[in-house]
Amino acid sequence: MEDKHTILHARNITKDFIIKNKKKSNPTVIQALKGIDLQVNKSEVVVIIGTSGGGKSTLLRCLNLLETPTSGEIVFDNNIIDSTQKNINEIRQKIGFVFQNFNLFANKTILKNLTLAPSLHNKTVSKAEIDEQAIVLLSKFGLQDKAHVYPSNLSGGQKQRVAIVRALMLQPQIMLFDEPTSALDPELVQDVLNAIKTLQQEGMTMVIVTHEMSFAKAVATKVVFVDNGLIVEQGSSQEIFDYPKSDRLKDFLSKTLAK
Amino acid sequence: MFDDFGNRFWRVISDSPQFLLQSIGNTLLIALIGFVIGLIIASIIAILKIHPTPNRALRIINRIFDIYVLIMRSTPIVVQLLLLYFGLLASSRLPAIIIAIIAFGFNSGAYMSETLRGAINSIDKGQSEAGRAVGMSYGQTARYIILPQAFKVAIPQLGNEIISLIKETAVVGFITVVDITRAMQLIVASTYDAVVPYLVLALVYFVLVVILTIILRLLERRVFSHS
Ligand SMILES: Nc1ncnc2c1ncn2[C@@H]1O[C@H](COP(=O)(O)OP(=O)(O)OP(=O)(O)O)[C@@H](O)[C@H]1O
Ligand SMILES: [Mg+2]
Repeated sequence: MEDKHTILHARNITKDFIIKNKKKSNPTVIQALKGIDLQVNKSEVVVIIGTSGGGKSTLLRCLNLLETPTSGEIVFDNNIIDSTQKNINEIRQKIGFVFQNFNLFANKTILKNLTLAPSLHNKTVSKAEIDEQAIVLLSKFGLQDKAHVYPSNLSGGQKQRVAIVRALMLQPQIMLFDEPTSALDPELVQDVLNAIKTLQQEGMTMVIVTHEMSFAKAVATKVVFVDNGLIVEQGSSQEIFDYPKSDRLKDFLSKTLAK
Repeated sequence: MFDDFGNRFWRVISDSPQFLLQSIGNTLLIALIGFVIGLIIASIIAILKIHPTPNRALRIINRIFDIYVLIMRSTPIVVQLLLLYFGLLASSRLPAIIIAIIAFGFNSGAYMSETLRGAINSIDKGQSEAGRAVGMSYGQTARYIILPQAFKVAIPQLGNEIISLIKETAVVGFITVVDITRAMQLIVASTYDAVVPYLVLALVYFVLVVILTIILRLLERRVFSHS
């Protein structure tokens, strides 16, 4: 039985990447995830931290099935979802995803970036209404004057905020962020973090992979430390940052916080 | 060889201008419609080939495409034309010009599928992931995001393709289509003048290609001024 407030639950998922060699007989298998159980409740902000290559991105990408888990299952809104099912595209709309590299559509204006998916999905809503909604959201994140420019004309911080708005346009039940500020110049980081904080204050359920430790402390209702394909420790930010138990987490924190 | 050149030139042009224009029309028709058909075929092949998670059926389809591309690229177009006209479509009663259009469509489709595949691969993969993340299907992402950018990248090469296509159609006379080359051969046969008609022929191709080149330049400039 799922807790009725659980929105997303990764049940014991593993992910193997199979790298084919020239000799097809013995491909290399990378076990990126080795059995992860992660539960996200409504209005929770789960922050995932961990060493590079530990499997954070893979985990996040499994949550909206950009990667198909090798075993285990993803439960979203009390239904098991898998990437081959018919309505997977509808489900993905409800799971917003923000990439490290923004991934805005380069051939579309900002407004089009925001309205393309909603207008494809919602044939009953008029274009004017969708445009209106986009403008409202752009204004909310300080981007109202950018509606008609192309992504190449924006700064990284602006691009990432557009990417956030693009996901919000679909009224997601949960938002996933994969290192949303890692590709930004330091002076632009804060804008994006503030945008995420706004969402937190509105009660948005979020899973955030980040290296911004003070931000993690500030927003997390739960911190998850992932290393080598496993969840090594999870708990409140106090438990994780102030009273780490495992050696690996202590080691990680001392290295990260020393920077 | 060039005695009385002016008069001979004039005779070729004026004897039956309508005949000449019609045959030039056929050349253009085969090249342009063939190109459009080729582009559609190429887009489909390229899109299906770069699908990141092909299922069994798609893998089989892609294998068939591989064979098709291989055959198209490793036999001369004139042989394909003959086989289609006297073989595969012999009983179809299709006009020869339609068969020529089909042959050139499928042939250029094979070549352009490679061009497009390269162009698609040059577009950042993150954008198609973003498309999927906002719930767009693979086809929608391809149509609205990836293909428009890939076409833009591929414009110079597609332009070259259409220019070679215009010249390659010169072999359609083999299956009784009267294109401009065939038309000049007929004039040669009836006038016993083999020099001037072929000079005119070269001139016609030259002018067609120059005009097309100019159009392509303008198109490129328009497309690339946007970003
Ligand atoms: N598409 C892929 N193909 C093969 N191996 C992959 C692929 N994606 C990830 N991996 C491997 O899986 C492991 C986990 O990678 P992942 O990107 O999830 O780590 P991460 O915790 O996000 O790291 P980082 O902090 O550097 O982003 C790594 O060993 C990586 O090389
Ligand atoms: Mg990562």
